[in-house]
This record gives sequence, structure tokens and C-alpha cells, in this order.
Amino acid sequence: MSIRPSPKREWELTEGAFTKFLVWLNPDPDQAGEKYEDVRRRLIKIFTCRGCTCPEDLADETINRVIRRVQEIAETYVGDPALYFYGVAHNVHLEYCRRKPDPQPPPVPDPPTQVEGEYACLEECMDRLPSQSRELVLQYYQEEKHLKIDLRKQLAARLGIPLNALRIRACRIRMNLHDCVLQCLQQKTAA
Amino acid sequence: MKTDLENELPLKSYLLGELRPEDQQRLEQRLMIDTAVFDELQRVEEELIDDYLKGALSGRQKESFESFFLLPPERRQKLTFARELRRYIAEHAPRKARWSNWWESWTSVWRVQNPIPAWSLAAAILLILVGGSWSVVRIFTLQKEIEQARVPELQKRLAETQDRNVELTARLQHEQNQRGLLEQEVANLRTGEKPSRLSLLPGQTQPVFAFFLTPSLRGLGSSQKLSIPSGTNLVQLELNFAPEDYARYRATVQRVDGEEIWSQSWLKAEPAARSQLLRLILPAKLLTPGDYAVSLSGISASGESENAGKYYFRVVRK
Repeated sequence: MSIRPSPKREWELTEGAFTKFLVWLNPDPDQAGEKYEDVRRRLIKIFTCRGCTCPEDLADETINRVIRRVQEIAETYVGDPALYFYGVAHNVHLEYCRRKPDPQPPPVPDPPTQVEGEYACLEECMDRLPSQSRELVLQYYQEEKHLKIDLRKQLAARLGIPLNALRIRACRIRMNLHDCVLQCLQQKTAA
Repeated sequence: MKTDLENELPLKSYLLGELRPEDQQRLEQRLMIDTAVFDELQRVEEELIDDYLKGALSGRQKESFESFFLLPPERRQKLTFARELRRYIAEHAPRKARWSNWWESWTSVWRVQNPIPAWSLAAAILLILVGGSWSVVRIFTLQKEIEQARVPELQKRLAETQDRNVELTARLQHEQNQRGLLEQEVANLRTGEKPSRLSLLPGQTQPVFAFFLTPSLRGLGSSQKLSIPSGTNLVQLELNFAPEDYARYRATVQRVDGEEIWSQSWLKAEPAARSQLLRLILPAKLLTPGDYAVSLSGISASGESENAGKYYFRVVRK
């Protein structure tokens, strides 16, 4: 059960308002679009880290409110727009917490068929990975305890990148792998 | 191993909902504007999930993880995915990785960022190798030197053994000759015949001529005349000298020009009346007419040789 934010219908989003909002993010339309996606991703992460069960909805509510406020503050606002989003997101979260949420059902373990289906999708997605990325995942996430740190250092040295860059690279490959698995599961469910 | 950002920011505590409100806000503002912090948070989130699956979280952390961290559905999906990824890696990681991991773990000593310990270790290992090699070479050299030093001694002992063998053989023959003479004398006594110094010994086809010598104090000028009958095969020289404490003797027969024509070692003196007696048996053909000297050396128990007397004689043929 998720808590939906209460919609405010006094103000309608128009094309002109949205354009003014994008210009406020960045005068360049392409960069404004990237900034928009970037801000939305960070807002979702923050709402997730705050334990919210519907982080995407709360992020969209935040963006809607910022777009409405930009019509008034665009000419006078000074600073990184991302911080303005954060201020609005904080208030959205406070309102979310004040509402009495429905009791959360206990998490249900995934049925075995779904687990096997996910594993099969994982195998397919791993096969589709470039060999270098596949090898990186296999080596980076090995479980040898005290050797794990040394293995990662050696892997970083072999690739000619700092250890922190290796960590980020492994994390991104893993996220892409997860997205691939989710798409695969959706396709199998739809089929 | 924590990164600098992880050391600087309490990311794990933030993910478990354990931060104070003001600290949480400060961190979230950085999340909104700092890409490095955002990426680091995602990485720490995945590591937290992996730690949970490995059972590496403390009791309190595990409780926060299950009651707070797993609230959003997206996180539960990540947990399932992480579980399947662990299973996949366990099944597909190469077997030789164990060996290469061990090898690379050992060789990683040479790739540490601080080269000083690696170079120090390399220098120490090189020193051990060089020192060890030198020691081995030295041992072999010393062994060879020892063997070489022992060779002359061994050769000397071999020569002495061979000499003793010859002398024992000669002594055995001498004893046999003596026995023959005694038997002949006994026979003569029984028959009443006068014993002769020229007699045939059992087994001998030619007669043995015995000659008694005394030490010469005045050199060649006082040499005794030795008249060897023709047909004599062996000549026995009987040397008489004062009692000495030598374990054995060595006798050499030389011409006056110094040429040695005969010698014998390992001679044992026989006790005689207030003196000692040595018997030398040598082929008569060696004693062509001329002047000769017999040098007698006493060999002590320690192996030292000392002059024990000189005997001069002149050989004339009948």
C-alpha cells in the first residue's frame, strides 16, 4: 500500500510554464532536459532513502510544485536550482509523514518460479554484456574474504584506473544489469 | 576498505536511517548538487545489500536494514537481484581464480603504491640468494680442497700399504728360508754333517749364501769382503746391532755411487745375545763385484725414521 500525494488542481501546467521552467534550469534546451532528469533521479533517491514507499510520485509532486513556483521566482532566484528542489522536497516529505499511512503488509518472499525467472534473465543479460564488463563483474564481486580488497586493487591496476573509479564502474554495470533483468522480466510477463 | 568520501560522510548510517535530522539534511543537500557523493551513495547502498546477504551486518544494523532500508519496493527488488547475482558469480567464477588469486595476492606485494617496502623486500631476497649461492660455491670448493689435501695422504698410505705387502711377502719367504735352514741343520745334526752356510732350502733350486755384517764406524775403508760362490741365487745379509727400541726397521742396499739396488721395510729385529739381528735376503745377481753400503733406519711407533747404522761390504766373486 503506498501513500499518494494530495493533488492541487488550482494551477494547470501549460507549455509556456514548462518552457520557462526548463530555461530556468539551463538556457540550453538539451542541457535543461538532462538537468531535469538528473534532478528527478536525485529526488527519487532521497525519498527512497527516507523510507518512502512511493518515491517516484513524491519526486514528481516536488517537480510540479517547483515548476509552479518558478513562474514567480525565475527572475529573482539566485543559486543552484537543485537546492530549491531540495527545499520543496523536504516540505513534500513532511506532508507525507503527517498523513496517516495504511499499515504496510509484511514483505512477501518471491515465489520460486519468479526467482528462477529472474535468474534466467540475469544469465541472458550477463551473456549480452561486453566481455570486459562481464569479466569485471565476475572478478569484482568474488567473495574471497580477505583477498577481495587485493583483488579489486589488482583489477584496478590492470585496467589502469583508480580504485574508486573501478568501484563506480562496477556499480554502474550492476545497475544496468539490474535494469536489463527488469526489462527481461516484464517481457516474459507480457509474453 | 573505505573511500575518502565514505570516511568523510556517514553514508551507511544515512541509508539505515540512523542520522540526526540536521546531519541528514546536510548530506542530502550535497546529494542534490555533488555527483561524486551521489555515485558513492549508490555504491555504498549495493555494498550494504551485499553485506546483509553475507551476514556481515551487526544485529542493530540488520534490524535497521530489515525494518527501514527495505521499506521501498525498489530496495526489495535490489535485494533479490543481489541474491541472484551472488548465485551467478558463485557458479560462473573460474576455478583457476583460486590459484591466480593466490598468485596475484602474493605478487601484489610488488605492486603496492609505496615502493619502499617492495624494494626493501626485493633487496633482502636478492641478498639471501647471493649469500646462499656464495655459500654453496664455498662449500663445494672446500670439499674439493679437502679431497685434494687428502689425496697425497691417501697415496702415501697406499704406498706404505703396498710396501708393507711387499715386505710381508719377503718376510714370509725369509721365514720359509729360515725354516728350511733349520730343518737342514737338524737333519745334518742327525746325520753328523757340519752345517754349511751355503745350503739348499726346500723349494729352492739354487743355494742361499748367508753373510754376517757388523756396523762400520770407519766408512768404506772398513768394509767386509763378501765372496759369493758362483751358482748362488740368494744372499742373506745378517745385520747385527745394539738393542734399540724401534718398532720396525728399513734397510736399503746401495752401491758406493749412491745407486740404490735393493730395499726392504717393515723389518723386525730378532733378539740375539746382547744385541739384535736383522736378516736381509736379496737376489745374488744384484751384488755384482764392487763396494756396497747397507743403511739401516729405525722406524719409531709414531712413524719417525732415524739412522740406526751403516754397514759396508765389498763383493768379490769366486
